[in-house]
Amino acid sequence: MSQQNSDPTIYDGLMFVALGAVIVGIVFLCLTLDKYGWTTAS
Amino acid sequence: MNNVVSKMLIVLQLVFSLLFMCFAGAVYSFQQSWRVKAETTQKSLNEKTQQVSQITADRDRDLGQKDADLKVERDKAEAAAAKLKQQEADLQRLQSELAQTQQQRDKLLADSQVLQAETEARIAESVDLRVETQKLRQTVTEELAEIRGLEDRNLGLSGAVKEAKEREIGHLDEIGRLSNLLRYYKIDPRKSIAVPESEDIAKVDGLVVATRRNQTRSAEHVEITVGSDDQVKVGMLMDVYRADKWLGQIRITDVYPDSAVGQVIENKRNGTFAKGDHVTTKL
Repeated sequence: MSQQNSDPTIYDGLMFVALGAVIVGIVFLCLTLDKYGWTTAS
Repeated sequence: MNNVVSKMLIVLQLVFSLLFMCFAGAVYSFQQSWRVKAETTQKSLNEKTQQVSQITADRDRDLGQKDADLKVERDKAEAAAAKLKQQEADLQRLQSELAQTQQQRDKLLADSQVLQAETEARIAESVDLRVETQKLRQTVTEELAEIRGLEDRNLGLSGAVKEAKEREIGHLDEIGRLSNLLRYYKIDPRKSIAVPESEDIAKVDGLVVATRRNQTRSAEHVEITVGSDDQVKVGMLMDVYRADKWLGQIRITDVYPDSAVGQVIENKRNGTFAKGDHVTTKL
């Protein structure tokens, strides 16, 4: 627990990259839903 | 964060995040918009439905028109059937009239044949009549010539009659004078004096000029070519003959200078007298 303020590693960068990829994927899905007017099958 | 598991989870998280991004991007980029397709399909369906409605309306309108036309055609067909029936009746009537006409034609043909035969007979008869007419014309011509001859002869005879009357007047004067003379010698002139008849009668020959019966056809008179100039006298008997046949005897009733007329003695007739027969006082 003594090493709380350690320097960020590559894995931290990979996590941000993964976050960015998730956000981009969500944006793609939102754009896809926008094509259908945000309506669902009833 | 130093352990291996955490690192592996981080790597897996990165991999799956990248995969999620890639699939989401692929879906956004390459997926087909079913909504647009549905809208397009719906629009096309609406157009097709409208076309179907239009076609149905057109079909209904055509059907109505066809029904009207069918009704009209049906009426026409009924009218044509009635007309055909009428024409069949007319045809039967015309056929009966044709049969009657043919019968009349046959009858007329038979009549015409009869008339033709009759016409041919009439033509032959007319030809015969024409020949007969020509003969009659010739006869008339001959009769006219004979009439002219008789008229000439009549004129001559009229002259002779006139001359005979003058001679008769002279004879009457002489008879009166002779009667006075007989009375002067006291002789009755009415009493007949027997004078010996001269037995020496000269032979006189002549020809018969004409024969004619009187109006009552009770007696026949013959005119001859000899008269008082040839010593022919009234009351003289003369014989008539033709070639070697003796035809009869006549008694002279009228005498003229160059002709005489005698009456046929019926009980001494032996034939028919004709012009050209010979007459004589002695056979």
